[in-house]
Amino acid sequence: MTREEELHAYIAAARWFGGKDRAFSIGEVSDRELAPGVTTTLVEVTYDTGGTDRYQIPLSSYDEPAEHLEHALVGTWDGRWHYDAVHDHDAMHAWLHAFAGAEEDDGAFNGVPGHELDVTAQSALFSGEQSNSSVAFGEDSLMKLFRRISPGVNPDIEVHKVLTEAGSEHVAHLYGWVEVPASSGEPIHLAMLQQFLRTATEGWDFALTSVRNLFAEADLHPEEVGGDFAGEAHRLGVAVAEVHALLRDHFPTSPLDPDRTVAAMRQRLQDTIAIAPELAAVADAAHSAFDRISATTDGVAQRVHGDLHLGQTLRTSLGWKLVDFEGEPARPLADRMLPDSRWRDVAGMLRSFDYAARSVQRDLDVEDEARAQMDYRATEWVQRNRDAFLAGYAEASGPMSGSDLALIEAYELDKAVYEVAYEARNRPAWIDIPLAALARAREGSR
Amino acid sequence: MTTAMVLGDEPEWYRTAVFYEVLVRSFKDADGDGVGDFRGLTEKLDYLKWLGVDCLWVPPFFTSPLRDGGYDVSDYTGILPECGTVEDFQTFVAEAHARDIRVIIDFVMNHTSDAHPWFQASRADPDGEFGDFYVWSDTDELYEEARIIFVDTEPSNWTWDPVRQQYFWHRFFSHQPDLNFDNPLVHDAILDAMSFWLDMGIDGFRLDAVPYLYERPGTNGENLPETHAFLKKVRRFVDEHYPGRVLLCEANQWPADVVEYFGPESVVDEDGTEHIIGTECHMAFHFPVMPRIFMSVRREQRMPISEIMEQTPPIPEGCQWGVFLRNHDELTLEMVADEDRDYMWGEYAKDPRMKANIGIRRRLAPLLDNDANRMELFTALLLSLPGSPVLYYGDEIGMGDNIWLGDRDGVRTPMQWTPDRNAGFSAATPGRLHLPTIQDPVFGYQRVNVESQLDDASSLLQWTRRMIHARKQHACFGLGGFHDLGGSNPSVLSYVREYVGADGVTDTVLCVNNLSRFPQPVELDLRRWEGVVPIELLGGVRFPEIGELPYLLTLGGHSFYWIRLPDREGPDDT
Repeated sequence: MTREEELHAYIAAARWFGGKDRAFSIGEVSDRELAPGVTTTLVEVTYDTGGTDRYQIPLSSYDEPAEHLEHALVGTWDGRWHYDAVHDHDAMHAWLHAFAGAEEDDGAFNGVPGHELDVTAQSALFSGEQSNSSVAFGEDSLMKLFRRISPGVNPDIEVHKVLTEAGSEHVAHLYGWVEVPASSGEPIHLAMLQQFLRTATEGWDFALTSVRNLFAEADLHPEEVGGDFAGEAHRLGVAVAEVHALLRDHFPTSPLDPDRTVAAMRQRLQDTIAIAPELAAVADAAHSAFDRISATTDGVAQRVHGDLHLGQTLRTSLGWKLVDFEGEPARPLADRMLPDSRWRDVAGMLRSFDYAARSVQRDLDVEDEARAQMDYRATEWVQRNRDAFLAGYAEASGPMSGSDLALIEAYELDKAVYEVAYEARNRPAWIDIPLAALARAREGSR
Repeated sequence: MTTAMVLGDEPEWYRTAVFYEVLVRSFKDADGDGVGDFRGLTEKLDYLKWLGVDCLWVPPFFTSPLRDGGYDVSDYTGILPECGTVEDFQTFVAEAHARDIRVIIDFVMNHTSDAHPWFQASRADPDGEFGDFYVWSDTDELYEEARIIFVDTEPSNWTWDPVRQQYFWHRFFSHQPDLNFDNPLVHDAILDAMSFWLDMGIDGFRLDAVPYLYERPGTNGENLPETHAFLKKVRRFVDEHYPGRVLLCEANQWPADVVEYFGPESVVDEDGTEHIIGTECHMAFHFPVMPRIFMSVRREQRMPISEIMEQTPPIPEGCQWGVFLRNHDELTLEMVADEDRDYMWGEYAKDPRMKANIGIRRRLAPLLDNDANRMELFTALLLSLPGSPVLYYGDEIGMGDNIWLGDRDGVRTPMQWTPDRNAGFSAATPGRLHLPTIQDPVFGYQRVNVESQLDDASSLLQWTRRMIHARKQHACFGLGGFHDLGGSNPSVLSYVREYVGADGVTDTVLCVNNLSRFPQPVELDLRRWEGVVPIELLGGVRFPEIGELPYLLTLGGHSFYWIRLPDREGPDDT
């Protein structure tokens, strides 16, 4: 097969490929030398329905088949065997060395002062990653290699750099990044290197543990069971508020334009009803919540996380950390960096508590009466942890005003609408979770 | 002292030892008076040897009015008559040593009983030899920053003495006046008393309540520099006259404060290498880890344990933590945050009588609802976390407690040896026993006793013994480093214990503990051991070779693995 055919097959099957349901062809393929001995390959993907994306595949090429990399074979062309380099210890070692030798503004590799890298550490690819590839170097550092590449400053790097320099305890500190110029003159960010968070557990898994613990007790309330999560939710609220405060201090802010915000929410609702008509029946609460924020005038827009949920948090022995400040992946890069309301993040987390409880409920798969009982108990768990999270947030950032609460509610329902669209496209069996949330809001508002 | 025989030349024996706390009065009664004694304890040394115990910790048996389980000493060189004679004690030490079992005893230096002749002399004659042996004051408004420890019974740390017409200071019960360590004569008296027992060949002391020796205005009266200076003096005295004996400190404080009781000091050796050595106690109890084991299992997630291990600073060379699940005191909750304490009370002390001061007075088995899997998991944690494990008598058979007894006596009932009268503890009339045996249908001695568990290969007793012996095969448990592996699953606590011996051989054991009642998978980052074939330590079963990918293990509810990570096998090895 040709290089293009091999790449086409590899990309089409890759977890990180975002255009799964669309036919495409391979456009321009360019090899970039990032440092002596370190190259990467950028591949243009042109969709038949129009539009292009660019993906990064660093390649390790061998004259002979490399048996230990068999699972990472991209293809053979020009008489050589080409493997995805994130699987290759030797190639990753070269990347790590390039980071260690990086001096700012000199070449593609950039370093952030303050940490001496352990260059002896062995690489290991993390499994399970969705849109990027993460490679850990021992327990010292973690490289995130971006797969879908777009010109422009990467928000994750930008935010981590600021929060690292501000000494935040709630992020993995940034150690370095890889950047090349695009033809337009804008930077293209290819990878970032961060502090490895030892002993970390994803907040999502952590919350599920608590929910399972609750459901295992016949009829106890969430505050009565051993696995109560409220203390953690409270601490998480404090962490999010502290990160928001730093972001507000270090990035531009502007008044929040309620009309634009509402317009965007209404647009999303309308678009989503088009793909999920069942949404129309439960949309009144969303409509009226959106109405209520038209009146808010004191909102502030600031830099936010943009896609905050439990899966974007890690609990380590030293407390909660937030990760992935890339913003909502479905939005264009430039939009993701625009100031927004911090309540969008808070609402995302509140929705995540609901998802945590409902997904365990789904997995346990009970019927009839038991189902209604479990539903009730899940709602109790969600309520308790929402309250604790909001209390923690307010403890660190000050009490919330009426218009704050109105914004939170609107963002939360907007997020549920977003979830309906997401589930309709990707996991139709899960669509009941956001629909039920919207239905509950409708009941509640009557 | 003809029987003073000191055990072999292993100055750091305590770092790998398995300790066993035994209450003489409740272990075995040889003379049939209803109270356990040293002759009875001596009879049971073969059992303790069989179990794998290396060192016995014997709480106070000094002459005492017994208003605080013997922690109210009225004669530092006398033995409670019902426990036996000094000769009985000497025989006991000699017989223990003959079985390679060491003996440490409690030493209460902070205070005495108000029945102690020193106190009687002090109150009667303020200007006499003992006038300054205690802390006297005309006002009860001094040292008000010092907290009251026994909040259930004591309104103040000062009590008015009608004889001397002054207040005396006491950090514990009002019948336990604190000694005045500002008086050098008290130092001499204490060191003399310690010599009395060390000369009999004992292997060390557990020093009771050491943080409170001094009091100073404007402080909380804990961990004062003067207290550390006195402990250094005790250590120098022991090192000089009684090398190889150990000082084990009871300081119920946060690990970062407890480390000060090792007396870390920097020295530079001939090669120019810096060492941090200990100049106070050889050992100290790690208090906060114990309630957090309970919390972690109740919450089904590892953070409470992981956090406290992360907050535990390194300790000086030659020092060691003592870890325990339960002891003769209440399950102490002073070292958990308020929110967690409320939670622990709610979870583990459903009946208010189970609460005592700031803690819970229950034994391990009832605390864990007599659940065999959890008892095994807890014991496996005890035996594999950093430090020397201290078992509490009776917990090896899953003994119960009696919450209707006063103070902390509910966890101090007679050891259950057999299903016969008085649980085989004593030949006395049952009514004569100093504490009644446990008789309830679940934990009663007819059901829970050593004899039946000896006959049952799958009993908790046999299991505990196997675990102790497995631990003793691996130096890494006592001497090795601790490395929390974290991992994808919050319900699974995984860590590696690793020790490189003087011979350069590495002993590495991976411990994986499922804190949840549900089966759990966990993916562990074992890249450092890529190519190693793990071997389950108890059964010797080989596990799949460690590869590049995260290592997947699955565990049953509340189950655990101890897995040896041997060196990679060479091509010739197979």
